[in-house]
Amino acid sequence: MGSIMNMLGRRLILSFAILSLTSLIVFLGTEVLPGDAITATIPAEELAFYTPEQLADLRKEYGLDRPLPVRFLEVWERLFTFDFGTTLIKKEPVLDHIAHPMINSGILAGLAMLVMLGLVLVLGILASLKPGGRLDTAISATTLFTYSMPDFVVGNVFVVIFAVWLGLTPAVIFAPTNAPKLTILLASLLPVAALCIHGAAYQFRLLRAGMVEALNSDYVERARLAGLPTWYICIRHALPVAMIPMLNGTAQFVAGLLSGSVVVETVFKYPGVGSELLRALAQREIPTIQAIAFLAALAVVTANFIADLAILGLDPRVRASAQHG
Amino acid sequence: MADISHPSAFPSAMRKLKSPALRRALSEPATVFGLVLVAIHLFLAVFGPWIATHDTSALVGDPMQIPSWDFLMGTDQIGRDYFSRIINGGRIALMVSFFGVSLALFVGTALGITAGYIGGRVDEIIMRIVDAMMSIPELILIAILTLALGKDVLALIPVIAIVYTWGAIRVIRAKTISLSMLDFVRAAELRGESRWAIIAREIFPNLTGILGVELAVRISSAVLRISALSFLGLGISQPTPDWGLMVQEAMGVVFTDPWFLLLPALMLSSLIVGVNFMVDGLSRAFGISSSELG
Repeated sequence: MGSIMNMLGRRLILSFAILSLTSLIVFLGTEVLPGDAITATIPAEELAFYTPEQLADLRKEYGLDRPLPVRFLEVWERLFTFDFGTTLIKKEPVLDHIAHPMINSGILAGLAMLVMLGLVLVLGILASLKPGGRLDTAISATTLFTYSMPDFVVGNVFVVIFAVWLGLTPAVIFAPTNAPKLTILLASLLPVAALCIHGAAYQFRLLRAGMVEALNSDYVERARLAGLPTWYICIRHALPVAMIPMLNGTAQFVAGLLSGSVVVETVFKYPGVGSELLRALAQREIPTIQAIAFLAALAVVTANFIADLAILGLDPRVRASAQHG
Repeated sequence: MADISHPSAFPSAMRKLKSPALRRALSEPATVFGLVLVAIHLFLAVFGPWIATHDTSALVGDPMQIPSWDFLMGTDQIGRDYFSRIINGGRIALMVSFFGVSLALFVGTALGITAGYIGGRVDEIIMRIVDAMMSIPELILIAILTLALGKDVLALIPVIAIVYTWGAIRVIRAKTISLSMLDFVRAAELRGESRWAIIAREIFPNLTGILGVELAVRISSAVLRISALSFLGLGISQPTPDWGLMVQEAMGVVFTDPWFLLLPALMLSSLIVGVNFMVDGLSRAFGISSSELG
């Protein structure tokens, strides 16, 4: 048991290190590479009117004249204590600005994840029952097809079908960012569907491959010879092991889901963090961009950590190696 | 044992297998469907300007004309020839993707082999950086990079290269590790060959299959990314024709002219569908497991 705690501790430290590296990348990308925050924030037309002395004064005011490592440590400390500073123009706290959009996007991504997992589990099990059979071929070809459909294309085609041709839904969502969460929930049906159509396919392929392998293994054969019903073998014996390759890809899955929601949110004008990010990029709101990038990476790293825990719970081999190592 | 340790035995055996595998691939309708789609798109990308002869960014007539002999698909909201823009809407994205992904695979192969074959501390450091890079959602990473590198079309090449390097490192490293456990690598080590000789003569030649798969799959995925970026206003900008940009332009007229939205969407998805069906079929026939497709 102690060694499992050890392993968890190591994973936690690793997650922390990864997040620190991520904040370094965010820092380098936002504050160092484009010249510096001053020249990046001030539009080029206005920059021409500043004298070098004025620019130097501004740099001093914002602390940009200090050495890079010092500045990075400061950014690092700010990010890790969730102190995201104020927006550059209106001087409002960044966190207030992005809190509601973040929750809305959280609802969207969370719902999409649940629907996707359900869909993937059902399709994965069905397809693996008879690999190469008619059902498997049909599901596999369909998912390869939907996997190839870009999410913004799926979203827009939904708009054409449901809003333009059928007239069932409005083409875009008119809910403000701080609308009641139930309104947001109802508004997220089409966006969730658009995210799932593209996103579920990859997970399905991983799960199907895992299921096919697990169902061919000796211990499933043993269970079968013991006369256990097929559905019981699938769920109790094959599924836990088959889910491991899928769980190993959790970081990529969640990162992809977050990227996808930015796109899909734009299609439906969903009041989420995607539009906030695009606005921040257009206005070069560096504190906001840093906050969103950091929080997104935090979500990915956390999801990955939880997936590691799940793998530990599902795979006796990993548990055993933790105990011996 | 004797012929396995001979360095040239493995590739020549692969070469002999090639034609039955190709025959197997071509017997599957889905694979042929993919190949045909890819061939059409490649043809359009190369010969597009000769097929659709109107200047893609010139105002050639009244806006929103219905299709005519002059303008096969009519004109768009500001009076540009829509057919020319549809035919040529993938060229820039394909070109940027090709160079960006090639660069990513070059760096990714070098670092992936290093991490996988040298191992130890080097591996640990490289892989932690990969983990960190891959925990930033792709789109946010691209956003930060466009902030740093500018929104020029040529700046998109390094952006794509940076985004796609990390996944390539992972794939190449995994393949290198499984290769380095095989007998012919062990044999070369026992013969006392240098690390560089083993990498160049034993490992790299066996990576070409997976590199081909990676190139195709990641180019199609990069085209998709770039068009999504253009759709968001972060990628290719006016007046260059691009399918993602055209979808975005069409959103305003979707109630009156949904075809303006559906045509570029169809072009883009047919390219991605084609590449994925082709790669899926070919890699199954040749026995290469592809990363992106599981």
